[in-house]
Amino acid sequence: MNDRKKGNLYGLTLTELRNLVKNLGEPEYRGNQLFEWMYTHRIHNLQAMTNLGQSLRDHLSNEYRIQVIDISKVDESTDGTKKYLYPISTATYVESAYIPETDRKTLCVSTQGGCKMACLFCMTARQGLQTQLSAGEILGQYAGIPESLDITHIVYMGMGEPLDNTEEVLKSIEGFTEGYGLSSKRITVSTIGILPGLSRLLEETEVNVAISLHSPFAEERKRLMPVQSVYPFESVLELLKKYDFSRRKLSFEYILFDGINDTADHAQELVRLLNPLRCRINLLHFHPIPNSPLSGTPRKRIEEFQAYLKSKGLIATVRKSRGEDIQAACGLLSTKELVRRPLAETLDY
Amino acid sequence: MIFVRSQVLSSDRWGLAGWRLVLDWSLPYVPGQWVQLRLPGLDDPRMYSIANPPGQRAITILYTLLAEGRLTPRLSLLKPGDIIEVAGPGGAFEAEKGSNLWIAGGTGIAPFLSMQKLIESKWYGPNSRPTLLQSNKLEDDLYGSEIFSDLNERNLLKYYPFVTQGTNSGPRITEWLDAQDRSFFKAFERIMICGSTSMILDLRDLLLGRGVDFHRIVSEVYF
Ligand SMILES: Cc1cc2nc3c(=O)[nH]c(=O)nc-3n(C[C@H](O)[C@H](O)[C@H](O)COP(=O)(O)OP(=O)(O)OC[C@H]3O[C@@H](n4cnc5c(N)ncnc54)[C@H](O)[C@@H]3O)c2cc1C
Ligand code: SF4
Repeated sequence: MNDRKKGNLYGLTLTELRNLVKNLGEPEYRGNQLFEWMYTHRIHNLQAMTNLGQSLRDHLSNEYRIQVIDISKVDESTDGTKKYLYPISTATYVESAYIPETDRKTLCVSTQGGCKMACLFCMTARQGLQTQLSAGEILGQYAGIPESLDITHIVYMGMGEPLDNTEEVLKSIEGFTEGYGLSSKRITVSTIGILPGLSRLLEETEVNVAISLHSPFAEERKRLMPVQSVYPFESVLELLKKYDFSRRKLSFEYILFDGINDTADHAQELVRLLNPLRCRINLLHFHPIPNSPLSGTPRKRIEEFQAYLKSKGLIATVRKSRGEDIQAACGLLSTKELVRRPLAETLDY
Repeated sequence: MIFVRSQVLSSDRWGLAGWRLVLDWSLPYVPGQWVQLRLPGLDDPRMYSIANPPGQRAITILYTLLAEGRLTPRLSLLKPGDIIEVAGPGGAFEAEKGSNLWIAGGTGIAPFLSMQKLIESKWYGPNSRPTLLQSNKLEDDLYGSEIFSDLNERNLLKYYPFVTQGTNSGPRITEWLDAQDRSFFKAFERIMICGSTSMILDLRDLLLGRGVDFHRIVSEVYF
């Protein structure tokens, strides 16, 4: 069979692999062996999986392949950040960013091609949703790059809203932890607060959670993030308060927009909202995007904002802006490659 | 979210592409809010804006059937007396007093249908009847247009229907808005948009390009 027509085993979970071999009349533990070869040993050649037995290897090789997504482009920043671009279909690209720092090497992965959520400050939003990534396409952003073995941390902060693709995100977390042996403590999923997915993430995994907040005031947050009309932040807080964050980290992401959400009132309200929680707040510099009504707060004022939050007992960090020379902000690169929108004749407006 | 069992009171077609599901459900809600629906045994709910004003001891859901969708093909098979599970209400796509421009695409008209009574009671203020731009592909699918036309005739609403396909297609909302001068946009304290992601993105871009402050734009995406 032509290789492209074969089913891709890459990205399947342990349970899925056990079921697959069982359906082939093999004992289920063969699924565990396949899982270990593919992820723990990073062997993608089925014939090299010597403890599987020749007939199973032949059968699997005839029907299946193990294919990690291809990289179509890589850009390296002067600060060492690397941006990878992957073609997912003929017209959709996703990106990941490898961010080396002295004490950690982080990979920022994407979970969707484009996104439906229409946040005002986001470049990915401008693509709309093009495609959902499979667990294999998420894991492949890790396994397929030359720095893979050096990576210490995974953050789900690339293109897309992870909890609008919860099932595949949960499978990929299983792949990272059970397969590649990364600790849940080193994985962070960032979300704008899609409640059903957040409940599952909190119940079914032990990974860290980062919530995109960007304004403590409901009406203002609505203008920045339409999700606020659907899942108000107060409901997100209510849910978070039911969980223990002593063994996993909870953080809030806060991009500072000049003259918009960087006032003393904002700082005070953040303290009021977040102080009851065991959490940290990450203050982020805004990467400017074309034709946006927003601009970034100058560095000095970000530091003043941070100092106020700290003086009131919040753990507040300013995240360094990385890879600006290669447009490492979420979605900038792939949106430059492609802005594909629905055809006019399919629209209802 | 806690799901409660609710009986289907009626289920029928609405226009050419739409369906209307009426459920026995009497919890209080604010116009613009959603409920989650799921079928017993299918644990993956979907959200729907409530498409009728409060106070009727029943809620109306307006939806379009997506052939490959998980829930809507099953919703379309429901008959009076069948049981469906409902959670909610939730969300905060709520009307505000003052001068409002509302823009709806397809089933995105649902929250504005639930604001009918507010319009009739002149809740928005004495000199600020809302302006509603409603669009869909076909004229038959301008859900509730007879209600809005009536409100228009009674000077309670300024109503502009738009159709993008078929014999009655005219300018698109985007073209129409683009042709307005700045004073048109200045007249509104608040612009509420409801519909698909691409509609929200295109209209928001257009409005920002016409000098509307983003603080005046609130949208609900049917993601
Ligand atoms: C706040 C809110 C209010 C809403 N109100 C309404 C309303 O009043 N009326 C209304 O009709 N809808 C409304 N929606 C949308 C609604 O919730 C459902 O999404 C819609 O009815 C489709 O449900 P479904 O289960 O039939 O389709 P789904 O199974 O959810 O699929 C939707 C579409 O996406 C495609 N699809 C499915 N899976 C994938 C995938 N993995 N990758 C790419 N494409 C995929 C399917 O083929 C299908 O065409 C609202 C949504 C929100 C968030
Ligand atoms: S910020 Fe995240 S959720 Fe919002 S549009 Fe961008 S990718 Fe989507």
